[in-house]
Amino acid sequence: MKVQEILLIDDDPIINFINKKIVEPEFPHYGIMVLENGLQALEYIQKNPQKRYLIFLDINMPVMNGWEFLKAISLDSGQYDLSIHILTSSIDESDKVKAQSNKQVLSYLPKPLTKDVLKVIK
Amino acid sequence: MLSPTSDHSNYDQTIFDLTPFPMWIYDLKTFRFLAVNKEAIRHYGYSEKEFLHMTIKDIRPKEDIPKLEKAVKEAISRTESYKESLFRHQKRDGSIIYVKIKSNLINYRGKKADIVTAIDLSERYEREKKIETQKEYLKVISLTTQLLLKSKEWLQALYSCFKIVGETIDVDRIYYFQNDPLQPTTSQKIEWTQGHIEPQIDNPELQNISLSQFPLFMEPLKKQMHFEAIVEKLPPSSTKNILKEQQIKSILVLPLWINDNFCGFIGLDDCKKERRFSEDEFQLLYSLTSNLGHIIKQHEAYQELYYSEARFKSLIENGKDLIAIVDGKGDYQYVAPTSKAVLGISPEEFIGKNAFDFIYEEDVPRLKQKLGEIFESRHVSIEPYRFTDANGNWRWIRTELTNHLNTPLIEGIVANTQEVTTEVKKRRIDDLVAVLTSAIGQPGTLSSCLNQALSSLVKLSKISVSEIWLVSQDAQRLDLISSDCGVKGFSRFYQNSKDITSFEKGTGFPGHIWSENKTMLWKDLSNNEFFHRSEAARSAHLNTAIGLPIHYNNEFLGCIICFSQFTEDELSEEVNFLSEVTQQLGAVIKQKITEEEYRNFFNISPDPHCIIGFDGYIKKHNKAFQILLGYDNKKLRSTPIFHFIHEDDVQESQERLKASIHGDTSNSFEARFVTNKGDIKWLIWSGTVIRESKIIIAVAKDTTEQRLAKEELQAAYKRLKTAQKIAKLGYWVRNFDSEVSIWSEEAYHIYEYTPQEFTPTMANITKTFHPDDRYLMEDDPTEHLEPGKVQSVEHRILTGTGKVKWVKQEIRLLTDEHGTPFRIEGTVQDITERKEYEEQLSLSNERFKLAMQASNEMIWEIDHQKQIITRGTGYEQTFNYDTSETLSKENSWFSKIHPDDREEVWNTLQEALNHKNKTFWTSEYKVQPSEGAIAYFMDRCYILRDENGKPVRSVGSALDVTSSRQQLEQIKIQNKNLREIAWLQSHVIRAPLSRIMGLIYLANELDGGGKSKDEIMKMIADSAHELDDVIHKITDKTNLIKDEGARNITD
Repeated sequence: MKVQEILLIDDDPIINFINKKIVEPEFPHYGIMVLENGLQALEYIQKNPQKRYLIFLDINMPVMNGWEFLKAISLDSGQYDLSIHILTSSIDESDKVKAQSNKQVLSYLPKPLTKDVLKVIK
Repeated sequence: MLSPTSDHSNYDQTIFDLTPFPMWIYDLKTFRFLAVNKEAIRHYGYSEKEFLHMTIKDIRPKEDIPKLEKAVKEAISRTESYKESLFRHQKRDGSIIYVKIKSNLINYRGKKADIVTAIDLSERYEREKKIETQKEYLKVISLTTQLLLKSKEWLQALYSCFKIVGETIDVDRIYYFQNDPLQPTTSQKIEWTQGHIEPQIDNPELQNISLSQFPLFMEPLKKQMHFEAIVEKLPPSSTKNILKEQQIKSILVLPLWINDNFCGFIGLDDCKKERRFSEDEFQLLYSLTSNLGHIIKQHEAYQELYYSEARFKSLIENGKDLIAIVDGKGDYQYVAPTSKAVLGISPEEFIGKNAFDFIYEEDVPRLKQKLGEIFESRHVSIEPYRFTDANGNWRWIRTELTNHLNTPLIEGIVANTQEVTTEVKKRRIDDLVAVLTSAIGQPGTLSSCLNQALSSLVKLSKISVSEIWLVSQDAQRLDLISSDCGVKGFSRFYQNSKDITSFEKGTGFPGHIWSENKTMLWKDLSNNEFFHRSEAARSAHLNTAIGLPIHYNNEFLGCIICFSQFTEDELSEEVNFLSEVTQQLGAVIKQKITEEEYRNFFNISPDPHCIIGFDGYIKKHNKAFQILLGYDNKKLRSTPIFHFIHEDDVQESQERLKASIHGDTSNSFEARFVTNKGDIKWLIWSGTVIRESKIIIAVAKDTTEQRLAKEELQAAYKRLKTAQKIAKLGYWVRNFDSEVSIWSEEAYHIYEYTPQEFTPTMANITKTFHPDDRYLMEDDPTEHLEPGKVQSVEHRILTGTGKVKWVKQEIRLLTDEHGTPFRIEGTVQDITERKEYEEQLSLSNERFKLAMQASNEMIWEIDHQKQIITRGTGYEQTFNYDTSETLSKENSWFSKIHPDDREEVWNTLQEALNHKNKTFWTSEYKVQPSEGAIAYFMDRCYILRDENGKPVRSVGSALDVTSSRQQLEQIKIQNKNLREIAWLQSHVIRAPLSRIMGLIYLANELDGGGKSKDEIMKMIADSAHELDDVIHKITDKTNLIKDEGARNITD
C-alpha cells in the first residue's frame, strides 16, 4: 500500500496552521506536509514520487504560484499519483474558469477551508 | 312301311327296300307318302317317319310345285301305267338334285297310288351343263380372238369382245385401262356395261389416275397376278368405299403385260351378286387379255412401222438433202427425187453416170481420196466441194458417205448430201474479212497495216495486184496509200506508173469510183482511155480492174482496187466476193485512219490522253498522262484506270464508263486521280467511244490548280463572310447610274430585312435612317467625299423589326480614270452594343466621380492598363497626396506609409492583384503625414478582372481610423486597471479576510487549535490591518483610473 500524504501548499503560515488543524482529524492516516510555494512542492514530489498525494494548492504565492506549479507538474504528471484541489482566497470568476479547464484540478475551493468541505472531498 | 297287298309281300318288301334307287309310293289323291325305301331315306336325308308325314310336294323346290301338280294330274288321268320324266328334287339339306322319275300306278292298300323310282342324274346333268358352258366359252374365245385379230380398229374390237364376254359370264361391267408409258398413271379407254348400269367411260375422273390410288389391286397386278375380291369382304379402304359407292359386289382385275411392261388392266364388275369367278371364266379372260396384249403389241409395231415409213417418205420427198447410192467407183445406183428440187436434175438423169462427171475439176482428187477411205471405215465426211447444177453453175455441197456395200438390199455407198453454197461463200467472206481486219487492226502505221491487208488480197487466185486509195485530209483528192503486187512479179505495174499517186474526184479509176460511189469494173485496161495507167497495165499484163469503194456510215473513205489478168466474165464471182468483203472493212479502216490522226495529235498534246478498253485497262496513253501520274508505262498499262482514281470517285467513274459504253454521249465528268506521290489531281474527262474496237479515247484537262484557286477563293469568301458576321460588318455598293445599291448578306442582317422584302433603293435606305440622322442623306456624297479616302459616320437606323440600332459606316468614293466618280461603296457595322456600353460607362464614370467627391473616405481607383492610381480628395488636406499618379511604392501615398508597414502593405496589394482569383484586398497601416505624427488607416479594395483573371480595374477606399484606434487603446488601459482592481479584490483583499474567517473558524470550531485566544486575536488584528492597507491601495488605484478617464474626456 502506498504512503498517503497531504500537501498544504500556501505561503501564509497562519492559513497553513489553521488548515492543518482542520485536515488532521479528518485524514488521521495521512501524513501532512506544509510547503510554502509551488517550487518547494514540486521538488518534494519529485523527490518522493512513489507516494500518494492529496494536495491543497493556493494560487497566489511567491517564487512559483499555483498555476505555474500545475504547469510544471503536468510535464511529468503521468508518473505521480496526485489529487489536486485548489484552495484560494480568490473568488474571481476568471480564476475559477481557469481551474475548471485544468484537467489535473479536481475542485476549486474558496478559502477558508472547513470540515464540511473536506467531507465532500472524501 | 310298305304293306304289300299281294302274296309276295315279303319278297316285294325286300326288293323295295334293297333297290339301289330311291323309291316311294304316294297317294295320288293326297300326294302323301305311303311308303319309302331305305335308299330314299339315305339319299334325301329324311327319316321314314318324316317321309310318311310329308307329301311329294315337300321334296320339290317351291317354284317346281305347279309343274309337279301338272305331272300328278297327268299321272292320274293317264292310261298307261309307266311314266318317265325328269324333275328337280330338293333334299333335306336344301340341295337340289336332278332326278329321273319312273312311276307306275298301283293300288296300295286300297288307295290309288303311284310307285316311283327316282334316279339321281345330278352329276351327269352338271357335267353336261359344264361342257355346254365350256363350249360356249370356247366359242366366245374363238369369237373374240377373231374379232381382235381381224379388226384394224382394235379398240372397237375390244368393245365387241367385252360385250360378248360380259353377256356370257354375266357381269355388269367390263373395262380396259391403259397405262401411260411415261408416267405412273392410267386412263380408262373402253367400257362395256349391262343396259341398266350407268357407263363411266366419259367420267373424267377415270382419266390419268395415279396408279398409287389403288394400292389394293395394283400390288398383285404389278406382280403379273390378277386381283379378285368380294367387295364386302375387303378390309376398310378408300378402294372399298369407291367400289361400294358404285354398288359393285364383286370385282376381278386382270393385268395386261406386254414385253415385261405393265401396260394396263381389264376389270370386271358384278353389281348383282357376290361371286367367285370359275376356272372357265378365268380361262376365257386370260385368253382375252393375252390376245389383247398381242394385238396391242402388233398394233404398236405396225404404227411404228407406219410412222417410220411415213417419216422416211417425207424425208426423201420433201427434204433438201440429196440422197444417192453409188457403187465403189462413184457410179450412181439410186438418186432420191429431191435432186430435181435442189439441183434441177431429175433422178433418172444420174443413173448410169459417174459422180465425178458432176464435180468441179479442182475438187476431184480430194473426193477420190475420200471415196477410197469409205472402204476402210463406215462413215466418211467430205468437206464442201463444188458440184454442177442443171444450169451449169457450181454449187457448194457437203457429203456424208456411209458404207452399205454389205447391207442387203442396198449394197452400195449411201451419200447424204447437203447444199452449203451460201454458207461456204459466207465463210469465205468472213474468213477474208477476219484476216483483213486483223491485219489493219495491228499496231503500226496506217500504210504498213494496209499493206499487210493487201498482201492477203493478192493471194486470191485471180487477183494479181491490189492497192488502196484514201481520201486526203482536205477531201480534195484520193491518195495511193498502199499497194501489193503479190509474189508473181507484177511490180512492173508500179515501176511504170511511179508518178501517179493521187487523183481528184472523177479522174482516173479511183476518181471514178469516188464519183460513182459503187463497185466498178474496168476491162481491157491497156486499151482503156480513161485508165491513166494503161501502159503500166499492159506491161504487167493486167486486164481487168475491180474498184471497191470503202464506206463508213455513208462516208466515202477511199477505195480498194484489185487488178486481174482474167477477163470480166471470169471474174463475176470475185467481184461479188470482194464487194462483200470490202463493205465490211469500212469501220476498221476508219478506225485506223482516226487512230493515225489521233496518234499524231496524241503525243504532242500537253493534256493527258489515253485509250481505255471497255475492260477498264489503259491501252495507250500519251506522255502528258504519264508525267501527270508519275507511274512508269508498265504500271499504267497493267492496271485498270480505276486504280489511279481517288477511292471516293471510283464508283461514279465506273458508272460513267459503263454509261459511255452503252451509248451515253453526255458531257464530260470530273474525277480525282492520285499520283504515285499521293498527290490529288483533278481531271475533267471527255471521250469518244469506238464500239467496234471496244475502246474509249479519252482526253483530260488537269484542273487541279484551277480547283485549288477556286477552293481558296471559296474559303476566303467564306472566311470573309464569317468575319463580317462576327464583326457585324455589312458591305454595300452603288453605281451612280443606278438607284439601287447592292447589299451583302450581313448588311441585310444588320438592317433585319431579307432581300425579298427590301430593295435598297435610295428612298428605302433613307427611310432606314433614324429621323434625327436623316440629314446625313441629304448631302450629295460626291461633294463632300474625297475620292479614294474613307470617311466614317456613325448614325442610328430603324431596322425591319422596328428596333433602333447604331451603325458605323465607312464610305469611299470611286472614280474612273478621268477622276469622275462612278461608284460609292462602304461598310456598315452594327455598333449598337458598343454605343450602349459607352453610354453606360460614361454614366457610371460620372456616378463614380460624384461618389468620390461625396465620400469621407479616400476612394481610389487603379487603371491597370496605364498603371495609374486616381484618388478622391477625402484626406487631401490632411495628408497632402496627389489625386492621380503612377502606382508605385514611391508615390505620394505609399511613401507616407509608416516604414514598419509600407513593405507589407505594398506586397500584400501586389499579391492580391496578381492572384487570378482574388477579388478583395484589405490592410491596416499607419501613415506618417509629418514627423512624429501618426495616423491609422483601414484600406480595402475590390479587384475587377477579365476572363483571363487579369486585373482590369480596382476600386478601393482608405479610411482614417486614428481616433477610433486611440479610443481603443484607452479602453485597453482602463480594462487593465479594472482587471488589476478585480485581482486585488479577489486575491489581496480576500487573503487577509479569508485568514480572519479561518481564525474565527479555528477559535469557534476547533477550539483555537492549540492557540490561545490572545494569540488568535492578535492574528485577527494583524489580518485586519493588512486588509485595511489593501483597501487603501485599491482606492488609490481607482482614483488613478478616474483621473485618466476624466483627462481623456477633456482631451
